[in-house]
Amino acid sequence: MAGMPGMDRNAKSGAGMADMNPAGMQSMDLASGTSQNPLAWPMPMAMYHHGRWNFMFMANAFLVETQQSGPRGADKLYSPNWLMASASHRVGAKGSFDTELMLSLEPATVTSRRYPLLFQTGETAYGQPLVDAQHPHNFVMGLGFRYTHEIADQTFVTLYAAPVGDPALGPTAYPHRASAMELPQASLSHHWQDSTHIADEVVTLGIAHKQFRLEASGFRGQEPGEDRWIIEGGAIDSWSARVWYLPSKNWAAQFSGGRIAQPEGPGTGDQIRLTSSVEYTRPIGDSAWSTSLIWGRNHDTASRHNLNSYLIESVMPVGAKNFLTGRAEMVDKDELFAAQPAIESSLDATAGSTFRIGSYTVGYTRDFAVWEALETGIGFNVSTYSLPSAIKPYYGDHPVGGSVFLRVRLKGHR
Amino acid sequence: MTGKLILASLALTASTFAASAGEFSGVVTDTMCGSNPHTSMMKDRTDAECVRVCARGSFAYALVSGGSVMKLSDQKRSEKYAGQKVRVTGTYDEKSKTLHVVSIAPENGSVQ
Repeated sequence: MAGMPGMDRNAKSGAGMADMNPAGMQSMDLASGTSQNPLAWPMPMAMYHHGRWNFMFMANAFLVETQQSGPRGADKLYSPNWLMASASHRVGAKGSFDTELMLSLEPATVTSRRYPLLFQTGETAYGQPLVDAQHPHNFVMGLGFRYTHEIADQTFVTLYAAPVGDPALGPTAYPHRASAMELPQASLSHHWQDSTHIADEVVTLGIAHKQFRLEASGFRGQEPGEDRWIIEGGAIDSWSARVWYLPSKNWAAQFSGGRIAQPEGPGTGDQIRLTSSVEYTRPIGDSAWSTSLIWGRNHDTASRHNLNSYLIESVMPVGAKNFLTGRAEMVDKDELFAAQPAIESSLDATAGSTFRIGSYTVGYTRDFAVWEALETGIGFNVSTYSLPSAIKPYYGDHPVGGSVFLRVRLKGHR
Repeated sequence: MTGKLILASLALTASTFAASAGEFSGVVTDTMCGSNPHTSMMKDRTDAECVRVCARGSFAYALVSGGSVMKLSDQKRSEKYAGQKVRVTGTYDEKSKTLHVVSIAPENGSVQ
């Protein structure tokens, strides 16, 4: 039996944390922005301290080969990836300051500004709406600063300001979500639930008391442009509010709503978004069984469409090295033919403009140790879909997508 | 009491190569601080306060015994003894670094 690895905080530098206070602990447990996984999740986070500064690192990278059937299917080798680093420092007995930086090489590793994902919509590539494809994330996925202050026992006020960050809207975004850790591809519900996780000009004020947290944000609503290497700016024109309830360390639930100003660019409508989610985590060995149930709804002020999305996803460790995972979604899509106006208007006259798509993904990952500080695994997943008859001529009766991947993740210290 | 003794016996019987059963003496700490002094972690808090703040967040109550840190399976009962010397009866699972608690009591106190 051994002690916690490398936790000698008597040393000036080393693994583990030092010189914290309750405000610092409160801030450390957050995911991106002020979002939250269940506290019981053993966050894969490497921790170090130097002097009075504490540093935390998380990283996840996939190398994916995907192949899809049907007239609109495509094949591609690509790599979703990100690295998150944060540094924190206590401010007196009651305060804690921390800054977070999240970087992604996806602008280079997801070529042609997209990777194939049947029925996915949202954002543009080369001036055309992305359909059946997912956009890469920006090089700077997050750059933010947080100050948390303990104003009474188990009561904290947090101010979060981020040139690029995650406002108080939606569940924990899929790259950070415990239940999505073994799924390299985005959810089809992304632009209904958690797409604002890379918003510009975010300011959030929150208050937490025991199991409850109430937050409000202002941010820029427009989605990122196609130059993925820059940080964009603009006026704060959108707002959101969110309430969290964490009844125990195993559960995290939120309800949130907001108005996103012209997310698809000037001249388009605003989106009024409502989301609700429940996440559950149960530690098993060094890992955890995590499940999320999420609902998201967009009301588009221009089209007056009310579009709903429902998602359930889970990852379960089996033994020390195996993970079973799955995701099922139902999403109302109204942009599947946005790049083909003639087909879109023809379908609009006969079958309507909104199509409810079901997506059902199952997957498996097997870890194998390559380096002590990394969790390295190989895996695969397969997706099948349900779709209305009216659009089967364009997708085929039974479209299928499959991916095989290599996953490398920075190993946590706990 | 009898039921707990039966449970303890079952736990002992069920122990595997990776598990060791018995009585463990040590201090209730948390998986963040481990065997390190709490004053390094939170200078202006007592040991018990530091343990409770860490365990309230994403870390867990643990027993530090002879330099070893074992996560305690019963987090609810462990909270009561944060920062205190205790005697734990149970089975230690090396793989999950978890001490499966059958009973826990303060040193020289009655079994809980």
